[in-house]
Amino acid sequence: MEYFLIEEKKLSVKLPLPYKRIDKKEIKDGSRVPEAFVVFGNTDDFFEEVCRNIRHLGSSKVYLKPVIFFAERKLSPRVSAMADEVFSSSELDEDTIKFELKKISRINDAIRKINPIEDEKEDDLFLRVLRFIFTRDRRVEPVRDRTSFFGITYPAIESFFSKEDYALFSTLEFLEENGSIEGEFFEKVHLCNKCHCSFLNFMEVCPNCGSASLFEESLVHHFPCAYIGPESDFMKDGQLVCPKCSKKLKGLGVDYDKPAVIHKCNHCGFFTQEPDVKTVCFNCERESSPEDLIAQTIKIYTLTSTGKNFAIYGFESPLLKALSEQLNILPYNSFLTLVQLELERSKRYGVESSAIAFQIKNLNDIYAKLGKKTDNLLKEIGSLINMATRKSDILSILNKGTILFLLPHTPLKGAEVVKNRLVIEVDKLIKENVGINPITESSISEIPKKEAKEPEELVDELLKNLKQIEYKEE
Amino acid sequence: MNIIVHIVDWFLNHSLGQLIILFWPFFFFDLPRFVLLDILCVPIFLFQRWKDRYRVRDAKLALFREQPLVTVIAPGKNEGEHLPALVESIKQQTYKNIEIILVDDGSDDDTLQILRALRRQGLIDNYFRNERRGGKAAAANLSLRFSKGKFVVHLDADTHLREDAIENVIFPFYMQDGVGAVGGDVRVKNIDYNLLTRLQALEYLKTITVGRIVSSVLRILRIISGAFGAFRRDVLLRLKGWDVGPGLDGDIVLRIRKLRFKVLHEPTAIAYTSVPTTVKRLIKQRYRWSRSLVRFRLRRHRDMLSPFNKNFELFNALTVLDNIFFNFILDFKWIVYLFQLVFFFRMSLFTISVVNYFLYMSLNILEYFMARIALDDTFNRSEKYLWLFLPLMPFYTGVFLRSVRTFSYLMELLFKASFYDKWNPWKVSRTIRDEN
Ligand SMILES: [Zn+2]
Ligand SMILES: [Zn+2]
Ligand SMILES: [Zn+2]
Repeated sequence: MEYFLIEEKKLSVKLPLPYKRIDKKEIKDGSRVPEAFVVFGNTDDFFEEVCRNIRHLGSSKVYLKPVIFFAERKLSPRVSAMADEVFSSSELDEDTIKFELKKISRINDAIRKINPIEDEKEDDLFLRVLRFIFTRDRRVEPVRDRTSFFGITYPAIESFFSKEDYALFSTLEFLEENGSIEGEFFEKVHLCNKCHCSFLNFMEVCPNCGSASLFEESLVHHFPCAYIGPESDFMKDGQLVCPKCSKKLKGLGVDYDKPAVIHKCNHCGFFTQEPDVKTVCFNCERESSPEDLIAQTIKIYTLTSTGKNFAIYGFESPLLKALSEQLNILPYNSFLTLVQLELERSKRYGVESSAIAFQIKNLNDIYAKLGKKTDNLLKEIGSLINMATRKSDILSILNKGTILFLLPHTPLKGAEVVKNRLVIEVDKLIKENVGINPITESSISEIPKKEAKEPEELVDELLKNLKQIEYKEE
Repeated sequence: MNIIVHIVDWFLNHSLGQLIILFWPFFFFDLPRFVLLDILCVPIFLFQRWKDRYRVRDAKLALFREQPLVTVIAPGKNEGEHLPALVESIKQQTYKNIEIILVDDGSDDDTLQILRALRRQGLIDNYFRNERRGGKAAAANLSLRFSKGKFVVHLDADTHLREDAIENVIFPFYMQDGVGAVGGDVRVKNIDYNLLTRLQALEYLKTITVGRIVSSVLRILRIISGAFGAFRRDVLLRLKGWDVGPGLDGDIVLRIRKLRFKVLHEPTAIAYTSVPTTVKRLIKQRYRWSRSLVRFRLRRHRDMLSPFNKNFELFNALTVLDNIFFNFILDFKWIVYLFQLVFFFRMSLFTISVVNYFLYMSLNILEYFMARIALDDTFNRSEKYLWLFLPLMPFYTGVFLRSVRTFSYLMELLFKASFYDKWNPWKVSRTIRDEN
């Protein structure tokens, strides 16, 4: 087994491992799969970039591979935590490395358990992250980091996301929600509600005019005469003299006290004891009140047995789960059998029937945006389907986002109406509730009355013809 | 039947002179002070109202033309739950140019959160909070310090206002010159809660609604309830606000009068306040009220009684005298009376009590109907049914309240108890004690 070595600068010592030197541009999917990647360098940025490139590869055979850092100098805790193993270049003796490499083979063993580990492109980000967590078999721990956009990050899985991508958190939330991982509270961070940046300025402002220019002083209460006012009311030649009874104040706690502080706005003159608090994002300059910030709960995550199962065999489709609650969704095989029957019926009795395929292509973007709230959206979609179809229609889910419909006794024209209504409603729902443009594709097909056709053929035809509907300009 | 015959018999056996001597507290004090004055003053009040009807209209016109800012203040401790209703009743006012400033005097409940919410919703203009309790005067002064209105209306936090209350409490300032303060009428909000609140409602009608009409006709008004009073802010600023103590409501009125400003009562400006619902809380409240009288009238305003003092003014002196005489000295007359009955008329004790009962009940009936005659159009449903409870009033005022009052007067006179009273936070009480 060979290792791929990626260097920031030429490795000066001998690496006691079988390796092949590659350029960082050569990190890509391909037939050659290394035992692990070895990265040598001395800047955080380089390690981070290489790691991100590896984790962004398509093939699960490659993107999950162990990554070993050889660093000339001490790396930041965040970057160190990205690698499976970190050695300083002074530690390059054979015994240490051999010993530590046991961990590398453990990871590779775990990767082999993943089923079916073909060299297919694995594009479900949630599954990619879950599989990574599974193969590492350790807790996903947050690290506070001032250079991170969020102020806190999960370095181990950060490389799966682009920089400043909030999906890092929503992915973990999604995985916790579907039972793959379990979270234990760590802390809460406040993030800008526009750009999710944690670098925020908190300031006290005048509740009347919003100015941050406030003058703070104490209220003074003179007990004997009950006068109460800002300390400046009492100031006379550097001494505190009561403006009501003209007595000199004796001492704090003796004949007066300071029951509160008060702020005077230098801009509008308004007095307040409780200035509003305003935050300004250092990144996007969004102003908001603290209540409106995103209070992101940060947890330490561990894999559950459900998660282990999902990692090995893949998720059960959340779409299927949500739709099954309201609709009768048939397994794909049963669906094909019924299509077969319908094909025969049409041929024999001339019944006019149709089939529809409907797909939400960017379901993953929706998950990333909505996190755990996706379920509600899917249920809404379920009730839209419920309204658009009849009891006698037959439904199945092909893969993550494709729904198949068999509409008996429905001519092509009728099916077209059903399809368009469904697409328009779902598009509208997603657009209004998620705020992103949905990419939905659909197609229809007639169950042929004359020619003979296999059910699989019909489904293939539907999938081949999938396209977005064109909205007429209004 | 026997009893009636017995009583009639008993009457026939006494001459008029004897009877008057037997019932001297009623004939010499309560009859002239309440019955005769009511019969005299309520018609005068009604006549003045009628005579002034165009001036009232013009004053209201002047008020609405000028639209002065009116600051409403309502200091209090742990009163948060009442505030939304209070604020709501202010928002419903016929007069609109109102600034609301609330002060939370060291509450330890969720008052502060309620204040924050009210400001966030834009329902109040500002609020302040003493982290440590400073007492009622300080809390009112804190509100005054940051108020901007031409007039300041002081409310108790557990009151709410009739929708024309602000309009009616402010227009008297526009009806004559030199008015420094105007008090409103205070009625009971929770009348229908239980018997005790109904009796207090009757008491308020008698002492406040009618009592203040009489005092204002006689120009001896001595108190403006903290529950509902309006002040010219410039006058309050000249006085530098309220002074410490129990009884500060009466105290500020006397100080305003010392500046030779008029203090008026406006019976059509009506606030509703919650009264204690249990005997225990009622006793506590009255205990506090009574002792303030001794302390502030007797000790602090002695100067108003001296003709040699530069502040002397006849009506002011009468105000203080009336107050001291009828509330304080006369309060002890019933002890004397009791002695007299027990020692000299032991045999007729029952009969005398029954007769006294009827005498005082008639007095209560008269006072209630005087209130109805003067202000019937402002009576709500519950108030109109209160007459049903009039037979209980002699027990309530004559026995219950009198006992509480006498006890507290004695305590104050003998022990200066209010200095140690929980009413003021200890720090304030201590400094006053040291200064005295
Ligand atoms: Zn301001
Ligand atoms: Zn002072
Ligand atoms: Zn931002």
